[in-house]
Amino acid sequence: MLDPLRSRADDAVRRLADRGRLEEAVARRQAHETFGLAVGAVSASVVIDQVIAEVLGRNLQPILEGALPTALRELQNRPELLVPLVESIVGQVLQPILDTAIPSVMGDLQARPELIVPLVESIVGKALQPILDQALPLVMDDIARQPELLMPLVMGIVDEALEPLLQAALPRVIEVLNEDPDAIRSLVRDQSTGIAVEMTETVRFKAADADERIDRIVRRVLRRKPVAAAPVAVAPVVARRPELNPGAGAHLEALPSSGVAVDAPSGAATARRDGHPSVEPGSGANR
Amino acid sequence: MSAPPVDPRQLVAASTADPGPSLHRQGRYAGIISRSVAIGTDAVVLAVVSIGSLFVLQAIAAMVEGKPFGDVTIQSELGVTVVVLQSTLYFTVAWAVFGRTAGEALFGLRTIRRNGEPLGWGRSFLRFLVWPFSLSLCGLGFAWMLIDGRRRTWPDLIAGTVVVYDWRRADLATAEVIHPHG
Repeated sequence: MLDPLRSRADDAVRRLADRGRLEEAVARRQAHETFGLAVGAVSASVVIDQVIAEVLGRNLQPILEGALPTALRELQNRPELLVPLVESIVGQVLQPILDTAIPSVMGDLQARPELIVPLVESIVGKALQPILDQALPLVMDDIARQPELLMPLVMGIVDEALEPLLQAALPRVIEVLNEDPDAIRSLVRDQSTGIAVEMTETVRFKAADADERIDRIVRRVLRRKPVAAAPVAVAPVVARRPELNPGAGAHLEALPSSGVAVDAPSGAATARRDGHPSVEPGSGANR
Repeated sequence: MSAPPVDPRQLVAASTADPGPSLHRQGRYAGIISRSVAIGTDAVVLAVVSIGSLFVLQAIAAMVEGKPFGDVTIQSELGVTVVVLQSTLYFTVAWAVFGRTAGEALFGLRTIRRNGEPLGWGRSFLRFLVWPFSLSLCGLGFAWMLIDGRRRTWPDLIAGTVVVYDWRRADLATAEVIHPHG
């Protein structure tokens, strides 16, 4: 007898619960829309900027004015705190940004490698260059004022930059040298020969210049004509020693077709190059 | 052992090429400073060789006579003869065979006939014989090059030679530009 009554009561409760849930959902949706509209209206309002500025100025400014100098003083007194602070800022603020941005940027760069050069130029030009422009003079001034700083700086650079490079490269260089000692010998021999040739040429130049000076002075004093300008050709070694190379005389016969005259009767390699002003007889001083 | 054949085209190409800064004096008459230092170098070379020769001579004499090295003396005539012979040999062979002595080679000089040909044995020997005479009279015969139009000394005038700059390497020596002066 009670069962029908209980089932009706249960149905009534269930309907009430469903209606309650429905009305809650509707209310949430209405509240969300109302909040969105309100936020949109507030954001679009010109008054909100003034309000925010007023709130910030009234609340944050005193905090900043009071706290920042204290914090900076504290940092000056305890510079060891600076590194953790920066690490904290970087870690909590920049790191998440970098974690999301860098993979995206790298992906873009992989897809469009032509952007790498402009990017690097932009980084160097807009970011590093100003820093270098400002920092380098300060560093140079510091070094000029305190030259004792130079050696630690240089040693630091050497230790941190060059030393690893040398440690990495030297074994390879030594290995290459061991693999091809002939090349090294040749290199050293060429260098020695080059130095000797250079020294010889220097000595010859200086002696010949001195010849010219002495000659000019003497001829100015004695009022004599300058030395004959035309050079004397030195016969080739093969012509002077034909017994060493029986076929070498052929080149003397080949010379006329190349515009060089040959003094055949004398058998000497007496040739004259046509059209060369420096070799024309009487063309000036012996210089 | 024979020298490698020379390609005529190389010779002509070398002769017509624009001379570099070290070659613009090529074939021109050498002046008094270059020749003086070259002679000085030859004197040093000859002195070293002569001292060595006399040392060897003294050692041989010591061995032959069975005396200690320090007790042996070489007659001055013999020493002078050795030095003169060595000098004669040195200059004559150098001019006749190589066209230059060691000093001349160092300073890029070459002794040639006026037409560019090598001296030969006769002229080389004659040139050497006249050298002492040239250096006498306060070196007047050597200083003669200062007033001669072709920078010739008395040995040059007598032997018919000239001394020119020749800074090229031997393998580049070519029949470049010859102006027959006489």
